[in-house]
Amino acid sequence: MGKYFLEVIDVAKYFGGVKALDGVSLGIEKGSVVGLIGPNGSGKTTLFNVITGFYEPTRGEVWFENERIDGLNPNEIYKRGIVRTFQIPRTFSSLSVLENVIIAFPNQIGESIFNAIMGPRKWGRDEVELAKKGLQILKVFRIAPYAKLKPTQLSAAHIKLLETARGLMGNAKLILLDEPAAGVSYDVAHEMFKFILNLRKELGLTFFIIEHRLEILMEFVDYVYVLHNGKLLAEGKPDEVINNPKVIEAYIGE
Amino acid sequence: MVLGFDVLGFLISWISIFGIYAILAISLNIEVGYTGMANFGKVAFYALGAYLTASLTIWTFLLLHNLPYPLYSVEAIVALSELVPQNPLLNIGLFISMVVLSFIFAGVVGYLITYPTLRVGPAFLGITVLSFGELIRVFLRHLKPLGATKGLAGVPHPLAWIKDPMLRDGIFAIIILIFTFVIFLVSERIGNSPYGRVLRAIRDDEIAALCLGKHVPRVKATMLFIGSGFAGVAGALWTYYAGSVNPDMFVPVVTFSIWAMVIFGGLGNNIGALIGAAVLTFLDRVSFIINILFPNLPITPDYIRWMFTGLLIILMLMFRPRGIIPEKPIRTPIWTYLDKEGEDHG
Repeated sequence: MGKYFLEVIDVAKYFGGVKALDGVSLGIEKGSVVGLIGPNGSGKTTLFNVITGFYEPTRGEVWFENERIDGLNPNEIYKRGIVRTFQIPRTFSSLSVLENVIIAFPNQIGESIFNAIMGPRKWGRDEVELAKKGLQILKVFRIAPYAKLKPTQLSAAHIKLLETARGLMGNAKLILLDEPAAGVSYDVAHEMFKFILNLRKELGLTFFIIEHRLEILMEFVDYVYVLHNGKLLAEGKPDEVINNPKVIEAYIGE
Repeated sequence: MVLGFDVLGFLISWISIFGIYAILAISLNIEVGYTGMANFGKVAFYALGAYLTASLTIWTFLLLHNLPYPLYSVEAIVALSELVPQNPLLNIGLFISMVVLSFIFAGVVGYLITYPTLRVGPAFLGITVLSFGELIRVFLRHLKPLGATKGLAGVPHPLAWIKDPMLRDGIFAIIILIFTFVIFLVSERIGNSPYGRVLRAIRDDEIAALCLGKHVPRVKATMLFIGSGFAGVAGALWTYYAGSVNPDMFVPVVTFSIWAMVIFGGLGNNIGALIGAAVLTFLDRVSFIINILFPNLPITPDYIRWMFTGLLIILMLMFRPRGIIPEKPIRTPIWTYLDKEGEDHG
């Protein structure tokens, strides 16, 4: 402990007899961009679900900033600075794009029922501040022109950007991205990853990314973990991993 | 007047019933329209408010006058009818405290009954509360101290000291409307606030809301507390309006007519709930009056009303699925800011 920003120690998650994760240990350093790859069903999303509190691990521990976080609820883990996106984006379809971002801000004054009933005199000024901050973030992601639209009116790539933008509104420290480039054209995906590197530089964020499109991922990450059948198969720098015979075998088969 | 039809009396009874059902429709709207919790047991909380008010009001009156009669007895009704007009302050004081107590009692029961179900899944909430409503009704039918199937009658009216019945009912109708208005305002405030934003987020995608740090179970339980409490207030008002309660006033069909109002008016907006309540209670009153004027119709107007309500809902869902007034964006200063920003940029 202490060395890593996020540390996963011997985590296992069983669903009945299925061992989705079977003793995975890994660490992520602050300010790094780390990839998580592996064939379908290897346990990548399950690992994300354990880290973000959706599942309680059957065994093992998760530490974030020297505090143990496994077993906490997702909303508590969010407040500690871990934000995730989903394989299939989850946006709020009846809220505008800007509201989708604003809602991520934690502990808003107007989010207490009493202040809501007291009326906007109590929280109105905060709303304008939040709107300013939200618009700034939307500008960074270049979706500010769509602030008033509903997320359903955006393209798939923009929705992915919106989900990531939402994470930044909440003072995130560690962002888990579940297949950010899936369904996105090569150019846009490329740009998105450049973007991520920029965010890391400007805001000191840490990223942990599941991605199937290795050709894009490998260009941008510092370090890669490979999962296979719920176990850690390999780890290392991108070029080491990509040439590792075990990894090739797992992906292509014998 | 044609057939001796009493227009003022009709208006007063329509306004009173409209006010009570508008409260129920708004209370359902903030649960299902705002938050996405399908409450199929609204009538249970309405019944709790009504019965609490009826039993406690009668009990207090009998206690203060040292009368040892059971609450449901004929002796009690006779004694009350003489005692009630004597002390306006007592009547009004009881009325106010009963409304408050009904809110708290129904609210707390709503909170408790739904607390475990919220953690299971949305469908379970609807089914549990539906059966809870029927359970309450059957329980009341067998609860001897509260009059079993006959219920309680002769509930002291808060304005019983006003001699003219028309004036009394008229003033009470206005009091009901004031309650409706206050509840409408509170619900609008809740909806058009950051809290309302959280509610809609939970309705749209519960898991994403949880992931963004919102305490979903707590928010839902709070909304059920408030929604059930409002239904309790409606129950209290109903008791004073009708002067009596019995278990068969609180059949599941009450819940479904409240649903019909909300669907008709448009889920997620309170003005729609008001319109739905106005239209359907109007039909209810009309069929009630036709019943009195033409007692020998081959088919009860009540059934025609139900068929008409069903037809209305089907037509609405076919041609205007979002209701008479569709849901509007949440009004917070964000939008004014965005509009100003838009002008600045050209």
